[in-house]
This record gives sequence, structure tokens and C-alpha cells, in this order.
Amino acid sequence: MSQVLLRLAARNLWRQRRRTLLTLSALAFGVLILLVMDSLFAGFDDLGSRNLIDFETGHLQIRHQDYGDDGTSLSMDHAFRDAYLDSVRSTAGVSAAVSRLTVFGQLHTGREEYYIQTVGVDPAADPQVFPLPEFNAGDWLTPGEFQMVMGGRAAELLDLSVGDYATVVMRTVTGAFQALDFQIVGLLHTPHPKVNRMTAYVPLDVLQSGLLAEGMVTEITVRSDNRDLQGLQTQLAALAADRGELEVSTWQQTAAAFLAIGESKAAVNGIFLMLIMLIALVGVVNTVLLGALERTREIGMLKAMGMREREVVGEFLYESFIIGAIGSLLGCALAVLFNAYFVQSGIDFGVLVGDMDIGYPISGVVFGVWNWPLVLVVFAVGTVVSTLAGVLPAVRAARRDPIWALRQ
Amino acid sequence: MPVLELKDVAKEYRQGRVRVQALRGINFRVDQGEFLSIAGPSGSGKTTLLNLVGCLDVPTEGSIRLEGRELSQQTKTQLAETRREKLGFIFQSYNLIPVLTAFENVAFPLELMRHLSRREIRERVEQIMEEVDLVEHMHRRPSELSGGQQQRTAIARALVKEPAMVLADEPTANLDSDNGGAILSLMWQLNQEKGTTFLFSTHDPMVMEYACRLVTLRDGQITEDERRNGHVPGSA
Ligand SMILES: Nc1ncnc2c1ncn2[C@@H]1O[C@H](COP(=O)(O)OP(=O)(O)OP(=O)(O)O)[C@@H](O)[C@H]1O
Ligand SMILES: [Mg+2]
Repeated sequence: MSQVLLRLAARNLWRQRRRTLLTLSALAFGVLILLVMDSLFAGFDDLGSRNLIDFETGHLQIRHQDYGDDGTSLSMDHAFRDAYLDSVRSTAGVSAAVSRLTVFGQLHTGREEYYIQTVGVDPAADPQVFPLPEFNAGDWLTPGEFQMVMGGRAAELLDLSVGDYATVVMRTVTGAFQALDFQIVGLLHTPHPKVNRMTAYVPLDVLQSGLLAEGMVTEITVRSDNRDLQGLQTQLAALAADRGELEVSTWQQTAAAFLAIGESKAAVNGIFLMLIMLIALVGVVNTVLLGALERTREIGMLKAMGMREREVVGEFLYESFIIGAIGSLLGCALAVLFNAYFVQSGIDFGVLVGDMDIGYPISGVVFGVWNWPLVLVVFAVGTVVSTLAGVLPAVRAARRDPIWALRQ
Repeated sequence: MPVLELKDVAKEYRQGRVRVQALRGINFRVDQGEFLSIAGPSGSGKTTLLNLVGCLDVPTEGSIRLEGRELSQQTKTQLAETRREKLGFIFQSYNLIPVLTAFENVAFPLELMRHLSRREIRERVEQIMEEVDLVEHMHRRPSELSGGQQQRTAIARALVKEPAMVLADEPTANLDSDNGGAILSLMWQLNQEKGTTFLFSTHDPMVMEYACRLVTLRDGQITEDERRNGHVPGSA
């Protein structure tokens, strides 16, 4: 019997194929948008956290507790004597660690001046924690030399190229102004907007002596393969306990604001899921109601012949199930197709947002991310909600008195 | 035992304060194999009577027995089961399912009964299609059949489950007199060959000619109950 009902349902849908197709494609479209949005959001998140870890925070950082509170006006106030690096390096779970001295300065080219974050790095060890990005031109730093590697975009803005000189005015530990001359040896090509636009790297030893800050750093950054970052965090905090104002934070903590964006992604997903359910609900209820209306006499006749009410309901539910399943399947299939492209080739947001700081440490190409569990969930939700949406109008149609229905 | 027995049956419709006494004091019995026509002017209660006998409605008073079983006490579900298992219906406007072929339409009541195998269903449908002379067209949809062919399909659908009784409310009202005559002679022939009991209503005098028994209603009461030879179709 159920086979006959299924056949009847399929043919009735085919008979009204324009209406069926409309409902079905609305549902498919909702499913498609949800899945593609999710993939790209995840791509944003991925690229964002990777940029954050690779260029700013590593996995863990030891810094002054007030570091960064005053926004971009980094001063030497938050620098500390680096007595910990060796013990940090020998802590189990730490795969690499480096110190950096980050100060804010004004860069003069003779024609222009420009605020720039000057980062003193150990040229040999730094790439173990912060992998070197691609170079537009030139090469990396040599220790002890007045050399500078800067973001490609900043160089472009200032019309600087490899071999040029730049003067950076900063404050020494005593607060006096100090101007240091550097020769540009390399230009970076990075997907991180902040590095690209406003960061210059110089050798740590040169910066320290130039600013009368021998042995001073602003951060010790750790890279770790350890999954248990919190455990490592506690261990490192114990190491630096003699200096109460030092603080160990995980990259997630530093990135709290950025991760909040990731959380809003879940909310966006929720909204889209609701939207799909709404489309399914409205579309299917409409389809079943119209079908029941057009077939009032037919249903009356079937009931007169002794068809059970639950068989009438069953026939309509097959219809809403078919719409839901095919619509969701189509949406998922299209999403997989689109996403395969996004995962493979990515989508260039750089074209859209340029180097604008959109609160997300991202520029350039975002790649899609596979989320198969969500595909399954969305397929199931689309199908189930569509099927259930048919229940009420179907029951209403099935309850009709056959005498009344036959007179219509 | 009679197939159908009505005792003091009355039916009153209520619509707000308006009451319509559609049937009153109806008494009659129908034996196995009868070919019975219910006649009477419009509004006399023919459809009401067929609805009661067809288990689509219940009487306000009196008792109706189908094959000895009392109908007036049955629940909606039981009435539906009785319709499914015991009765065949022929409707005035055919009422075939448009998305199913003639064959599938005829098979449908057997599917509803749920206790026949696929093969049994096919054999029974093919046989009845032969009897109503529709084998050639049985894989067409109703929209591809003429009015007469559609009504023949409807007759096949009513008869395929070998019901205790076939009920037809004005089965020829939508057909011209040639087709109407053909349908009636087909019903008559099936009645003769298979012994199926037919109960149909009409106000067409030509149709009444075919009946072996003619019950006449007026204002919800039986005014005449006449047994006669009935016409052998085509031998007028
Ligand atoms: N559902 C209903 N509600 C109220 N009154 C009804 C209803 N059905 C029928 N009636 C009334 O009952 C009476 C008998 O109607 P019925 O339909 O049985 O007559 P009929 O003999 O079939 O007429 P026709 O030849 O026009 O089909 C009529 O007066 C009709 O108005
Ligand atoms: Mg009538």
C-alpha cells in the first residue's frame, strides 16, 4: 500500500511540477547559502587564527600584564629583563621560543613620516616561532647590522625599496628620543594586514643597544605542539612568578575579540538554519494546502472507497518528504560543488576589502573548509522539517467528511 | 438472509434552527443479486438514502443491516472498513484518480484492502478489465479516455473487489443517452453474470426501464415498490 501512496505522491507532485520545483529550489537555495556561508566563515577563522599565531601571538606569550592596554602607543614601560628565555625553552612541551622587543616609532624617509611598529627579532631563532612569509624582494636580517625588513604594503605607500634607508624615531628606556638609521634589506608579502601595512623588523641586538635597553624585551613567544596549552600556561606562569606583573596568555586569550567574531558565526548559522526551516515550512504548507484544495473531491472519493485517514495523511507526507529530501539533497549537492571550488581555489577577499582593517587579521585569499557533519545535519533538518510541515494541513485534509468533499 | 435490510429509517438534517426531514419511515430489504433502482423527483431523498446504505452517514432513527450487521451503531472507522471491504461505489462524475492509469485506478481498492498479493491484484484487475472491455486502453490515464470509457473504468473499480453491493448515485447523469444506455447494459450484464447486487438512483425514465425492481421516493417516503422483469438491454 505504501508503495502505491508513494507513487501517487510522486505523480501528484509531477502534475504540479512548477509549484513543486519552486518550493524545492527555494529550499535548495537556503541549504546552499547556509553551507557555503559556513565554509567561508570557517575559512576566515582558520586563516585568521593561523595569521594570528604565525605573526603575532605564537601559541603562548609572556608579557607585561598591561601590555597592549594603551592600544598602539607601545612604550618601553612594558619591557622587562629577559631572564626567562632559556628556562622557557627547556620546558617540556615548548618546541621553540623567542624574545621580541616591540616598540612604536615614527619612520622618516626624508619625504614622509609614518607610524610603524618596530619589532626587534633574533634573526636566527625568530623564524622557528614566526615562520618567514614570502618575500616580495630582498632577504632576511643579519644580526648586529642596522637592517630592516618591512611589510610590502608599507614600503609601497612610502615608495621604499630594497637598498633604501629609513630613519626610525623611538623612545629609549629613559624616555628620550632616539633616531636610528636602517637599510631596507627585504620586503615581505604577507596575508596579515597589520604586518603588511605597519610593521618593520630589525635585529634585536641592534634595537636593544640603540634604545639603551640591553637584555630588555616586551614578549617571549612560545610555539608548542602540545594540545594542552592551559597546562603549559600554568607551568610557564610558575617560571615567571618572581615578576608579579608578567602574565602568560594563550593565543585564544589574546585573540578573544577576534574569536568573538567566530562565535557570531554560530549565531549566523543558527539564523540561516531558522531561515531554511521557515522556507521549508511555508513552501511545504503551501504545497500541501493547495494540493488538498485542488483534490478535495478526489480525497472525498478515496475516503468514500474506504481509504483510511492515516493513508490520506501518509500520501501528503510522502509529498512533503519528497520535496524536503530532494530540495535538501539538491542544496547539499550544489553546496559541495561550490565548496569544492572554494576549498581548492579559495575566494579573494583582498579584492573586496583591500588592506582595510576589518577587525579580522586577514587579507587575500580565503579558502573554504569542509564541514561534513553540518552537511548531514542540514540535509536531515531540511528533510525532517519539510515532512513535518506537511502534517497539519494533511491531517486537516484527511479529516474532511467525504459527503461534503464529494459535493464540491 | 437479505443483503440489506432497512427498518423505520429516518434521517433529519439540522442546519442551525432549520430542520429538514430528508427520510422518514423507510422499510425495505434487498436480496442477493437484485438490480434495484431508486427513483423520485429532486429532493425526494435518493442521495440521502444511498449515503446511509453506503456507510457514509448514519441515520437519526431506525436500523440498517448490511449482510446482517447493524450499521447505525458503528464508529467512523468501522464504517470506513465496511465501505472498504463490502461496498463498491460508482459516482456520477466518475471520480477517477487523474494521475493513475485506468489499470491502477481499478487496482486501488484492492490495494486498500491490503490482503492481496501483487499477482492476485494483477489477475483480478486484468479479468475485470476484460469484462468491461477496456483491456486495450487500460494503461491510459483518465484524461486520455472518453466519458463512457471512464465510467466503465469506474464500474470495474467498483466491482473488482467483488463487493456485497454496488451503489451508484445517478451513474448516467453525465452521459448522453447512447453512452448511458451502454453503461446500464454493462451493469445489467454484470449483475446477470456475476450476481452482484446493484442499487442505483436515477430520475431518468430510460434508466428506470432497466431496473428489475423500482423503488419510488417522494418527500422522504417510499410511495411505490414495484418488481418487474426489467429490460434485456438492446432487446427493447
Ligand atoms: N447536508 C444536508 N444538509 C441539509 N439538508 C440536506 C443535506 N443533504 C440533503 N439535504 C436535504 O434533504 C433532502 C433530500 O435531499 P437528497 O439530496 O437526498 O435528494 P435527492 O433525491 O438526491 O435529490 P436530487 O435528485 O436533486 O439529487 C432535500 O430537501 C435536501 O435539501
Ligand atoms: Mg441526489
